[in-house]
Amino acid sequence: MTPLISVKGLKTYFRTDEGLVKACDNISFDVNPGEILGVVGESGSGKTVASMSILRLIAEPPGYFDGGEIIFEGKNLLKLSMKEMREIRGNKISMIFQDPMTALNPFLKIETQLTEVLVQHKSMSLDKARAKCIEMLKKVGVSLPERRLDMYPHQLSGGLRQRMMIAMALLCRPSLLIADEPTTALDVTIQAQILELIKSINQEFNTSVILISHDLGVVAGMTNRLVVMYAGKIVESGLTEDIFNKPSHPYTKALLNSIPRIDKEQKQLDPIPGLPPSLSSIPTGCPFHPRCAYAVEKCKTTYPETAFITSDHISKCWEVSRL
Amino acid sequence: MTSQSTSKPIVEGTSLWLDAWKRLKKNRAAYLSGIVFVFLTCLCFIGPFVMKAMGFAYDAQDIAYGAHSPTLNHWFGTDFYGRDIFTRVLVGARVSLKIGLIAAIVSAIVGTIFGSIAGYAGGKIDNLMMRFVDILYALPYMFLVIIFVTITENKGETVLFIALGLVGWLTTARIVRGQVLSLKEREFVQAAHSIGVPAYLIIFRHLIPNTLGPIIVYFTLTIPTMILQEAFLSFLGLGIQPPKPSLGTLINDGANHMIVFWWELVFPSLFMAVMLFSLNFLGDGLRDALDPQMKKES
Amino acid sequence: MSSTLLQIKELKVHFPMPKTSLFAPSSSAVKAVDGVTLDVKKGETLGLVGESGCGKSTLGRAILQLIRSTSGEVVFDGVDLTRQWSHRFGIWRPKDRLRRLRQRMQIIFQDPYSALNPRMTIESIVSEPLKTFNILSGQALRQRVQELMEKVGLDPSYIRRYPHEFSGGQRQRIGIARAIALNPDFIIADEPISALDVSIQAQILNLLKKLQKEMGMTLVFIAHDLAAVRHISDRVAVMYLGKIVELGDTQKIIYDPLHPYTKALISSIPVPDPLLEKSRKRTILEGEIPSPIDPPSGCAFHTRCPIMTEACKSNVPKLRTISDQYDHVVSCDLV
Repeated sequence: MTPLISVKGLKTYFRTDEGLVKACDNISFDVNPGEILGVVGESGSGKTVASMSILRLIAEPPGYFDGGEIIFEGKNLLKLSMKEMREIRGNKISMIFQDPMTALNPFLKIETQLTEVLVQHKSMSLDKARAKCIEMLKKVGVSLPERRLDMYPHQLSGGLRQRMMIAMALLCRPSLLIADEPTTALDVTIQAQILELIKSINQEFNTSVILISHDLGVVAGMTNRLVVMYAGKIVESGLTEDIFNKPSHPYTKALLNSIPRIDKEQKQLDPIPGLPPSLSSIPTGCPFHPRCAYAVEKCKTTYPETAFITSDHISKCWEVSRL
Repeated sequence: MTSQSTSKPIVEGTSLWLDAWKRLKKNRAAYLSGIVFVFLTCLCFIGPFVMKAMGFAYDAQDIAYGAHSPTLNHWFGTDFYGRDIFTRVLVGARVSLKIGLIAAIVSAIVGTIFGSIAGYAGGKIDNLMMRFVDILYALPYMFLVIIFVTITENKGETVLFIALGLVGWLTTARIVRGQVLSLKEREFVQAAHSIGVPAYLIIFRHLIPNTLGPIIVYFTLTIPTMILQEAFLSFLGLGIQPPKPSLGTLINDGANHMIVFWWELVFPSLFMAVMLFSLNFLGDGLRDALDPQMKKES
Repeated sequence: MSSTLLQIKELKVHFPMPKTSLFAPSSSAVKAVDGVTLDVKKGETLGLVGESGCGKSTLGRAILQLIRSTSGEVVFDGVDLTRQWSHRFGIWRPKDRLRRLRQRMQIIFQDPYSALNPRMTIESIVSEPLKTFNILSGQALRQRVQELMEKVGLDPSYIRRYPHEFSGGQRQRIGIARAIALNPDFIIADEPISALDVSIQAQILNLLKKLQKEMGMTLVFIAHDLAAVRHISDRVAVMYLGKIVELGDTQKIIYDPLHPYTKALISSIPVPDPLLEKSRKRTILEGEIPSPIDPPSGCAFHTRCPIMTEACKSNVPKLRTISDQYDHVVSCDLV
């Protein structure tokens, strides 16, 4: 199967006052047509920068691409002009953000913001665009869509706003939807609704989804494959079930042991000691070694080679055999 | 028990003030302006004594010598009465600075205390206090000053302090109140409540130090405004009275004779311009130095 | 063990809304806490869960009387805290007795960034409660601060540093050190982990658990994350729109929830196990949380309830005891 989008050796760096920040350091992953790929990591792991890089939403400067390519429909997105990128954004690849309030313009009616996408990309007339928007709002489960179109963002609740964002992202039937922490700002019962919606969109429209989250629970139920990021690097990737059944990087394993669970009795949580590193001062060798229970001398100096657990379950760890 | 806790030397932290200072030092324009301002201030406060000792008192007349363009002896030239303009500029700038500084300091203190009390108390008290501020704002203060001066038949520095002080603190009070209103919802203030810290300490320990950033910036930008206002009032003849010079009266006199005695206008104006520029640059620099931290905190 | 430390009776906190116009008939109010009755036993950890806007944080602050309550009682060790206020010049001020009682009850905040005064050193932050009550001074004070820092897992040599030089998790530890400085009997932890990174949350949970055991404190743990609450609490209270809808022994609430809202809440929480996630039956609630300004009539949950009947629209359900053994009470007429 040819992947829909293929990120190869992406390096997104930032020049800052504190020095060079390697927010994405040699990131590679594929998204197949129709699948949901999960990207997990803590804040500062580079997961958001990776997704912003796909849409070239990185401010340059201070950011720049030090290497790598992102192949989408046979073209390298990193080589496209800004004009060509605008053709792709919101049209073939859309993104939804953690905080829908900041992503919507508070001074414009929902209608204006939604129809704009269609007028821009599909050169539709306003009437036609409005009809299309109402149809889409019904699909994403917004009740009374005609009335909602006349509202301003602040008149909607958080869950509804996120539905609006999703509707906006889907208007042009993109082949890839990037969802960056889409439910982090929402309550659990609303989170369940939105996750269900993303899943049904994936099935109904066959839209591929990159789901970025810090919540292992969210990705467990949603994704086919998983990429685990730490300190700007991918430390483990593979089928979601494989990773949960046999976590093959000490970080993934420790993370799974440290989270409280609703379904199981846990006598004691095993927290990961220490702090996640700041991206401007990443430890040498394997970046996880100062917090790792399995670290050996070698880990402090040399970045691990790729270890294959199965043909597509890989881990960046010297001590895979001891896990 | 003590063995472990005292074994390691205590690490000194970097306060936000120190951080801001480091950033200010990096900002060349602001740092240079600061040096220029300090230099000018020292010059104004020490210079006149030196000049007097050298025989150039600001009111020493030499009518026979009269107005003369700059020479090696009189750097900025002399005026119609043969008075040394350099000395007069220094003395005038000292008067202006004194008024500007004192008025700015007084208005910063009064405004901060007034604003923080209003913001902290909230409700009716806040409403009452701020409406009072609004009323003072609404009064045409130039008019007030003119009436004040006519009634008391008192001119000079005191009137200027009162006139400038009357309006100066109003803006500070508004700024501080706004800051306090948002700060008092912050959790560290609630934490202080929860450990029973009394109200005056909450205001002075938790609220005011966190509003000082904007206050300092506003303060540095107030001084030039005050100096300009002083110059304006003196220009109208409501402020400093001759023979005592201030930058305003000097420029006024200079403007009257500028066609013949250009140096009488140019040097006081230049001096004032340099002083105001340096203060404004410093204020801008301070704002840049203090502001990013404001963002980081929240 | 089972003696009661804190009794909350019919507690209400209503925030008046500013009138929309001068001629509006009467101003409405946000009913953040709307009649909560709850006992907290000495030495237990009580979890308080609910979604945003359910009033759990307001309830926490009203228990400590950091917010004045509208009506009802909060009896702490025999003293009704809601009466410890004096009214002068249009301002409500806590009486001395309330200030002194605050030595015994403390709070840990959600946002470790806003909970510490950025202009103060760690030493002055942690020592402030001790200084306020003149308990220690000088060298003894510094020593106590260093002890506290060690207790919460921070390097005591950092006492002269400022909050911005620490990470979120470390700041939360500083907040905890401040809260335990006075050896309080009672602590409210208001979402202490929700602002932290996943890998740090467990550190703070374990620390709270350890301190609670060591110091024999009573803890009210407020969170929206039922999984974390489950891990730390002996009993759990579930709130919805300013009211407690279910309360009981943690095991009972997790494995045998009775209220339809609790059931939905538990089933909404994703589990980090792909196989289980795929086989799980979810109850997904429809609609949004109603506004606490104008809560639905009858049972406040009826607008989203999957088992709602006509009667629920008009009858306000009362908390009923289901089982004495597990302290299990529920407010639903259909159970």
